[in-house]
Amino acid sequence: MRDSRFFLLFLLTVAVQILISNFLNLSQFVMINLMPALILCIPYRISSPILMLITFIAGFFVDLMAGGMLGLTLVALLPVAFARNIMLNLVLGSDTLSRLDSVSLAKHGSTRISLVLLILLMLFMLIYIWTDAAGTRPVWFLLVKFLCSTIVSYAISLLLVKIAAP
Amino acid sequence: MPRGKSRYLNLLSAAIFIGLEFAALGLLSSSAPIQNIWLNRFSHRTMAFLWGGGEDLRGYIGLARRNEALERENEELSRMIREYSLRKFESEADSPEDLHGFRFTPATIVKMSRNNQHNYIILDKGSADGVKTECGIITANGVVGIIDAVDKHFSYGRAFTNANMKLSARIGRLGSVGPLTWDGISSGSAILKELPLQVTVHPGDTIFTSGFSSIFPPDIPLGIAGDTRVASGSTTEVHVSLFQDFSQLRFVTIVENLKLDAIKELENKVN
Repeated sequence: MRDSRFFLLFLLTVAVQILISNFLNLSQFVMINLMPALILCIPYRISSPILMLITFIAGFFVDLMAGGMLGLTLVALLPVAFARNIMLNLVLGSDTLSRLDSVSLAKHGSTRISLVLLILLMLFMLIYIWTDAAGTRPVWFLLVKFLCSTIVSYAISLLLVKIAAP
Repeated sequence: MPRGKSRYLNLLSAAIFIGLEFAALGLLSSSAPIQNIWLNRFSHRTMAFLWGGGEDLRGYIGLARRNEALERENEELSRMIREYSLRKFESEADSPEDLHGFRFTPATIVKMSRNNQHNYIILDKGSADGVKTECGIITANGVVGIIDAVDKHFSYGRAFTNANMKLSARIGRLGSVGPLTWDGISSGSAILKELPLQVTVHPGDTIFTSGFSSIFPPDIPLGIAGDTRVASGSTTEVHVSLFQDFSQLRFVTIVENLKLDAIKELENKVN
């Protein structure tokens, strides 16, 4: 029951992300992406290799439907999936992690979970924006875009985490 | 989760991550021309860094071998220069091995003592190579020693840094002549002795072999004159900074005076 709920939420979030990528273009300096938050909320009992494959499929689908560059979200999202367990291990500790079924704001504290979310989001934005620019934009532009996008996406992602991992 | 299984899972995750990331980069590269160029540039830079580093490392490892080859080449070139310079003075000379009455044989130092008062040198050339006793040992930078004993394939000699070694030297090409001996303190210093008091020596003058000995050819540069002092109230001594660095020696040239027997015979007749 809990898994099917998350599965539905996962599909819904991917769909929302596709809509955001296609229609919600706020500014050159702001890019909203919820995928890192979604990766964070994937139940911990799912093994890392499976997590990686789920990430690949989801990222590929977003890239395909968003009409942008095929592979761009994937390039940035896969390191997030790879780093997720490492970050959880660092922030929550290995003892907590061994008993962990899935990430929960109530169980593990909103501060620690939001810290992991912020780190993963920053990693995603760093790779995404850097790869997207491909050396054609000045550094200040990349920095501003990185900061604005991280702040906006972080605020929306926190909401998503509250729903997906209460 | 058991530790072994966890480690296996981590490795598998890392492998899958790398594989999928490359796949993603491939997708990106094929779908976006700018990203394709950028990724190619990044890839080329990485490869250049890695291969360039490897090349530097290989070059560094091969330095000893290259040094050896360069030293050999240098020795060979020095020998050729000596031969050509001697040919100027000896118009009748028709063989590079018989120039100005001297024959030159390149050799490698097998062993050399450096920290004694009676230093010696062993070379890899012996009687089978035409080496005889009383042959000189030289380099482009000066005199190294004299052969004292010869085996079939090796020869043993006194190094210049030996208290029993002295050679005839001249200040400049036309100046006064005196015996040059090691000062016994530094491997780079010698003393030119028994010069008349009236001789003026300027610091910086070059000291050459005089050619008066029957062992060494003339005009081999030995060192540079330094301070002078009066010895025993009757002669002048000159401190000489040698060109030859005895700590860096590896390749030398054995020089044989082809007229040595004739000179000795003449001396015996007179005596």
